[in-house]
Amino acid sequence: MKSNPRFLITSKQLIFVIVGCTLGIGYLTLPREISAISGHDAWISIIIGSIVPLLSLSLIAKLGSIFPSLTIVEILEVLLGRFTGSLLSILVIAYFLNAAAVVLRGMTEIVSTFILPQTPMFIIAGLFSITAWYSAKRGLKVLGRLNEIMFYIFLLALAVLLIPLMNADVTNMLPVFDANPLDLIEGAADTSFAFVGIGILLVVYPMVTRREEVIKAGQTAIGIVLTIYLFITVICLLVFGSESLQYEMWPLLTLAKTQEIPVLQRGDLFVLILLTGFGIKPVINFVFASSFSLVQVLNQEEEKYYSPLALILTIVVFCLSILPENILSFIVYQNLVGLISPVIGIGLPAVLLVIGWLRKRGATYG
Amino acid sequence: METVELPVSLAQKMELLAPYLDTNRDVKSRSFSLRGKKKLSAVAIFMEGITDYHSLNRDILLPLMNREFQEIRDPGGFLEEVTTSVLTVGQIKTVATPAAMIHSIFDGMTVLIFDGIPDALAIDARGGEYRSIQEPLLDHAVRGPRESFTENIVTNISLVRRKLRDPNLVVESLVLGQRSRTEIAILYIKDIADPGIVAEIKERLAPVNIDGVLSVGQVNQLIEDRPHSVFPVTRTVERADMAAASLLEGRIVVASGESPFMLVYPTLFAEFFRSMDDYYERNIIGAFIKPLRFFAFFIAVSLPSLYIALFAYQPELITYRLLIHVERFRSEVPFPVLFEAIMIELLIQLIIEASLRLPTPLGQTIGVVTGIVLGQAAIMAKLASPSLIIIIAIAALSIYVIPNYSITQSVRIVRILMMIAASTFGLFGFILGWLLILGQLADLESIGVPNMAPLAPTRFADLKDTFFVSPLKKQKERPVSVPIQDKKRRE
Repeated sequence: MKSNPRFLITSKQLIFVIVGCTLGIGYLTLPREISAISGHDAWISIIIGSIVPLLSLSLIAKLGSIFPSLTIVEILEVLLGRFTGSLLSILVIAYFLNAAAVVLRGMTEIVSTFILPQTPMFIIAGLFSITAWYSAKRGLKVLGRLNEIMFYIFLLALAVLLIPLMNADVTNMLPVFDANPLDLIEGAADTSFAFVGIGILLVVYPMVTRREEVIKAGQTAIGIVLTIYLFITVICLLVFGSESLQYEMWPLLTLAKTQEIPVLQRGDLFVLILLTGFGIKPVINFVFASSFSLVQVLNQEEEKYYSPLALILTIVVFCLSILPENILSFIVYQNLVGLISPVIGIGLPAVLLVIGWLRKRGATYG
Repeated sequence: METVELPVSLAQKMELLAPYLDTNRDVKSRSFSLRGKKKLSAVAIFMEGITDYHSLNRDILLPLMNREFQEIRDPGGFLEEVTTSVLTVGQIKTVATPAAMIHSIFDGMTVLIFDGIPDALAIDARGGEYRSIQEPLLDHAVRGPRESFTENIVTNISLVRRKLRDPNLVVESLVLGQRSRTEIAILYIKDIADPGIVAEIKERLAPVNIDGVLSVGQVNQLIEDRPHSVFPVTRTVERADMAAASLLEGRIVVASGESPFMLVYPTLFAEFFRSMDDYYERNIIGAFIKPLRFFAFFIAVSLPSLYIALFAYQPELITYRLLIHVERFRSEVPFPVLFEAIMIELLIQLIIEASLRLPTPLGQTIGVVTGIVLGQAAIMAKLASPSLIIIIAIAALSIYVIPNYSITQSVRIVRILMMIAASTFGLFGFILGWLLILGQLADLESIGVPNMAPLAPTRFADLKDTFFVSPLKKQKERPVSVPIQDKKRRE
């Protein structure tokens, strides 16, 4: 079952899967949100904030090393019995679905605001969903490759942002360590939604061909995400300064607006297209994670049931994404998911590790 | 026909052959007799046009009719004597059943039947007319060898052998097709190619129950992983040096009789952008041209759809001056952008298809004339704007920058699909279209090898040859994207 090649990836692809889950749309609002609390030391908050996913990574990896070939669903069932385990699995699946829905909604908002203002949201969301399903239904092996390709293209898009450095003013970031340490911590707490992606390791851990490389891959992934977030935040701070930054809903896009590419006068829409297109990666990855887990909860054959379930769950994600009425309720939704993710990312494996340790006398698992 | 033995007497054997001899004008029989204590009758049956008469007369009939035969003691001994001491031909097989005998005749062999001896002899005295080795049609080389494969599988294999004289180059053969009985050859270098892949290919060809195999294209459909995908996962090569280069990289090449192309497995997407010229010319030229090809691919797929998306949906994205300039011409055109684009695209596709069907001199003229005349007339009648014609013409042209023919066909289709996507949802449709393409590409595999390697999964060692051309001195190791055994090219 786990040796089903349709669901295997290498540790290098794991890096890109995790990066793909994390770099969704968070970076578009990140600079503004964190600097609202930490001012121009927002970048420090982000660095502190990365402790959360690192902690999550080590806990999940530890859990995985005790149960090497089991996904979270199976671990829950083993440790808590079929009924409770399934119940909690459904909660985890719901978390993945909501995370996907938040990203989907975020992208839809941006497309709706900037590109297709007159198209109803559900059509935009629907189109994204169809595209996400088209890739998600193929299984993890293909997703590993897809995440990789898209990451490289995404990097190219980011390179465009180097140009506004000409307008950078270093004094915007000085003095360093100006902010109140408590504010810094509070800012760090706010980054939790931005690092959501590590949760996918709960499902994907047994599917990596060389388990001993998982921790290193996870650290590399978090490192990459951190670097990109810092890059974006620092540029935004340098160019705008933390106060003006508050007035920008999506500072990154404003930054791109200043780019004049020869034929296209405004780089922002161009970059926007690229960035939005790659915001679909978390949706695809989370649809995969939830569909695969659901197959396991229902105790069925992966091969047969994965694709149809992927379709059903994509529809669910679509429905969830059109629920919030406007952008403000969307932000509330986003923050809500951001709050739950450390619970799932840290709390869940921690609790399971304790239970596993308590039960360790006697049976061996995995 | 059941697997019975052939009858002993000549008359009975001729009775079996009578239906074929009577109805077919090109199946000939030549009776003769062998000298000896007892006169022995024999008949040679052969196909007109496929048999080499020279060899038939000089090497088969002459020695048989001239020889004094001793008393026939046993049939086996007689045939052995004939085979070893009389017939001066290369390949002889003994045939024991009526079915095999009939098949041998229709395979072009010369069949000898004797009175009083049940078994027959099938002799390979084939000749006949074949197209001579000419310049390749599709895989043009500027500075490379100009010999292309022909329809004769023996010639084709010999062309490859001449390039690779390694005793480890293995040529296995099998026959496909109940009625076409096409000879298929599988070539690979035994100590480089991955045995798993070789076995997989043989397995895919083995159980096939099909009536006729007429070209490598059909053979490919039998072997290929995803025959329904838009993009090809197999390369067809027309020249022996291309086949040899692939063999050296550990690939497996499949040749089909009667087809001047060979198939290369497994294939990576990046290889469609490779031309042998890159390795024959200076490296640094390849460093410019290779990225140009990838860029051409991107343009061929995206340019018309980008144009539609921008001018129809997001004109604010275009530089003011360019916009004014283009709109000046476009404003007089009575159609919306999408309609214009589809119309011109269709026109160009019609021209391309028509010139493919016409014989060469006519095809070129028609292509040029129609293109220029229609294009100019359309502009003057204000039915199309010049900028759009330029865009679509550039896109149509860039397809043919890509060295491989099969992928150009796919690109034509994908481009039209992208145009539809862009015209429905603008830039958003454009990006979704590309996401769907990437999703499809990421899924493609060629005999289990991911098509998008070495980009994904990333193999850094191979990347430098993918986007650029690595010089010969640097080519110390073979590309590892496809599993192989012997990794080093040289020490």
